[in-house]
Amino acid sequence: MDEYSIPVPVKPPAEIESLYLPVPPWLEEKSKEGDELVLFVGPQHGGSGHMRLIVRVHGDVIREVIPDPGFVHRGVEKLAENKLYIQNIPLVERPAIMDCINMSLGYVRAIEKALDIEVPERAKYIRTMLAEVCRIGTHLYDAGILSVFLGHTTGFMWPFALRELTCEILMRVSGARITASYVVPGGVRRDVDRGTLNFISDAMTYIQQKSKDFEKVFIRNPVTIARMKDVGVLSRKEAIKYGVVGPFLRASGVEYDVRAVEPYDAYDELTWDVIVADDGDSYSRFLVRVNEIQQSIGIVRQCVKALKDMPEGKIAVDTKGKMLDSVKGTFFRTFGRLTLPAGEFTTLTEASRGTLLYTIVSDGKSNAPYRLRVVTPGWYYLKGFMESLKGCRLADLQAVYGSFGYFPPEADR
Amino acid sequence: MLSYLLEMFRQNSVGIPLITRKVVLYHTANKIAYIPPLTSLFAKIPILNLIVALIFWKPFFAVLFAPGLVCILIAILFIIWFERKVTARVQWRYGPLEVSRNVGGIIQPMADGMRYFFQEVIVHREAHKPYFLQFPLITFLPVLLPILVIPAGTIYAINTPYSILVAIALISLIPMIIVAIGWASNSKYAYVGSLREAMMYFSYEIVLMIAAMSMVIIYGSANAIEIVKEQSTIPGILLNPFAALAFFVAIAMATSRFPFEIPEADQEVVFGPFIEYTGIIFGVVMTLAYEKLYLLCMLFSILFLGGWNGPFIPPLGDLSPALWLFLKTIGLMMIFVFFRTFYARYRLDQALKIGWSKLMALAMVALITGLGLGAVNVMGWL
Amino acid sequence: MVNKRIKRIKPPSPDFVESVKYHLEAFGVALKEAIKPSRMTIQYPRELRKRPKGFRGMLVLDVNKCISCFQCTFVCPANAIHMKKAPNGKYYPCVDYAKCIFCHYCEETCTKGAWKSTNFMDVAFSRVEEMLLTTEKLINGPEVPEEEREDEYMVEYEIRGSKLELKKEYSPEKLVEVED
Ligand code: SF4
Ligand code: SF4
Repeated sequence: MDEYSIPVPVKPPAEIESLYLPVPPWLEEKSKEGDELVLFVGPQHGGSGHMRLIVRVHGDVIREVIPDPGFVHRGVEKLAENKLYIQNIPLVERPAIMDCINMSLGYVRAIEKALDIEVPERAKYIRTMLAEVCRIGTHLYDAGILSVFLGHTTGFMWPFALRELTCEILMRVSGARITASYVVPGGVRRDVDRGTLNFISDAMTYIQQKSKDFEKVFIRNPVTIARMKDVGVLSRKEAIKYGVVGPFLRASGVEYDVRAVEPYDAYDELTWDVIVADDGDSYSRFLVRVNEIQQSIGIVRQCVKALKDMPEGKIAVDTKGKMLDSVKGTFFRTFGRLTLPAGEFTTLTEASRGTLLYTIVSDGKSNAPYRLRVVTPGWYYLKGFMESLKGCRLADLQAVYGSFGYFPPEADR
Repeated sequence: MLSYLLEMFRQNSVGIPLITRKVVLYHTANKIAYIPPLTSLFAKIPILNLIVALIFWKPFFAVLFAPGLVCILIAILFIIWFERKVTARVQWRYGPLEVSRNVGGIIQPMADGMRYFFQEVIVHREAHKPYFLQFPLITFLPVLLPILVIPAGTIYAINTPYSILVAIALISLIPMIIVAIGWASNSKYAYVGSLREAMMYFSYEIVLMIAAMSMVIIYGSANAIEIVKEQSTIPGILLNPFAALAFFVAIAMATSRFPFEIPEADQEVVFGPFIEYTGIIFGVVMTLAYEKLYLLCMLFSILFLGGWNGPFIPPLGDLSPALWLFLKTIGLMMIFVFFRTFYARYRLDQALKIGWSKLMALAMVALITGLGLGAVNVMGWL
Repeated sequence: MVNKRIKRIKPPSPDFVESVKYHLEAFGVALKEAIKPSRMTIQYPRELRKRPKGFRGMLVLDVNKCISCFQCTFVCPANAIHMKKAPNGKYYPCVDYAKCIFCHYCEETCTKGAWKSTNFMDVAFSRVEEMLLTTEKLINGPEVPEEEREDEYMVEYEIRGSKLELKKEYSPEKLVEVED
């Protein structure tokens, strides 16, 4: 058979061979000595997402996994440096679009912190409500991915179908299904009317009811339990040591939730539980998030109730403290020329997958950030994820991956 | 010579009244109008009559039509469609629909087959080329050979007292070929996949054999025809439910149905042994599991569900028992593919553990039951 | 930990009887759905999702209202808006749909309300160059020729009690509707 060569005028950079790309040369030798197989899982693998995992397997047992992230790195931090503060909102939600409200919420709160803006009550509740809707959506998304990683296709389709309702909610509230760009410094962009609020509580009822079926078919399915129990265990100590965040930290028995420790928006006015599990294995990581969906539904219900009792209007406040009923027509005038005082402003947010950190460094003069630091939860727990894989079986790679809900675009930013 | 052959074929030909008898259209006082039998159309033409006779010659008919190749193809086309459709239904989707909207997209598998035909077949540089291309075609051997000894009522090729044993032995060849395919692909994932296939083979094969054996002991014969005759009153599944359960789970393992879809796990090893295949060869290897499922389901219905026992349909003649067998087989296959909708897959070591602990214990119980019932049967109390 | 309750969860560890029960439950749920599925799929080209009021779709420009203030160009996060000089000497916006991210900052920016949203966002063009909609095209808004329309129904999700219903209506005469 003829081999075709495509004349490409560029040569691959010399570093690809001289450095360690994609694997260091000693790795192959070392693995041969250790009677190991080096498997490249990804980036075009059904169970890897947009990243490469270099797996050293001995027999069927994983000795080490070396992550090779960065395939979907988009340079959010650098891009943010030459955009107006307000223009960065659609940008910072790009890393995890299913979690858009939480992603932009952290950034917007950093700006509010710098400008010392107190958000109107109604906007607070709307933000909290939508953040929890996004949390439900993201947890459902991850549950779906986990199921399909275990080969359970029904468990994949149902959460994705239910997530459609969260998209519908976002669409009715903000006008866009996923990239809402809804939160602005000082409030939100639009008001929510009563019809939409009714739809939201109906949708919550539906999700709650259908998740009972999902529980029967996937969560409590003995095969699922067998696949995930005692797999990829991170003890409490390890989880803290490797800097795991969010639900995965709580699954290892650490009672830490940014929403409870440093409550923002309306979280301290609502009642909800911090879900904690003790085992630290894949199954409890999954269960914690399943239970968080129930808690989120509760929060959304409370928010809907509070919003119904509140008078409509007053959903944003500008830098001078003037209340706005709508940002329409005044968007650029209000937010376009925001200039932050010089300094560093950091916020922590509990995004769906864990702690999300934004730091804005401002020079006090320009209307774009001097530096924006984004550390997404995925990047925090990548180390813990890799460590928990040691000693698992090869087939567990996907079970652990799915239980962490690792989302490469989010981690790579 | 030719006439001798013709005679031989005709002596042992499949009788289907629908096409070998005259069909009377109407019958008045002095007139009879009828359509001449289809077969007699060719009876006088020299070569054609031989071919027609050959087609209806029982051994040939068995391998090529029922329960052989044609039935396998129909079963595969139907079951692939059914699998996708029922999974879609459970998953709140529609499933294949667009190819033929008014019949629920039933020709979708055929359309897929066509697509495979026109796809490029890529043989990668590292493959052992001759074997890589050969093995998928060789798989038809262990699939079609068991048909020789599995009868469908009166249609059979070889009537031997060892038919069940020979069939199981021949079916057991399929994993060998899958492992060989994995070797010929010469890729890491194919290697892991074929290792998994081999491991799975260890975990189910003995259980499968013991379960079949316990039924053979009960009936006192390994001849499928005898076995089915024994079941005319009580089907085997009631006599020895343990054996049926063990055999059932072993089939799921053998044909990599959920929850034991381990060698091909597409999220883990990306179709394992078949990872490097493209085009029509991929189509051929992907149907392998379904062919195996067909064969084993046929064995299950012969051993436990009374095989071709069922009300006789006169116009079909010899085809009637074959039809019953086919229907039972398809029904079983439908149950097996339904598992896809609500199961994840086990891990390899868990499947091995199940195979050698719970399933083996079950098979042992089945064997003891079989021995007991066999003794009863010998005494003639059954 | 301020005033939040901690809820510790215990993962189930089913014994033999329970796991048989769980197997059967999973089977039962699947069977129930196979017999009577609660479908929510929409057959896309034939059925379209009904867009709610305030949907952020493709844009329509009302030139008479535009005062060429350039604010929408400044605010566009994706640099999708270009200003082109019109015969009357004023500058009017054009939108490059290869870049637009449908954030509708432009719409909310315009002090004069020159931008309007439509309920349509199937951004499909046959060539990249066509994706840059000039002012003339923006005035008319997106158009779907009658012979290319495949849609028959508009579907809306409606939740009644514990049931999700797909409310179907016949497609309207005009597919693209401008919001006010
Ligand atoms: S919708 Fe957003 S991206 Fe598109 S043109 Fe308007 S401002 Fe620019
Ligand atoms: S903001 Fe409105 S008035 Fe100003 S240029 Fe844009 S469309 Fe015209």
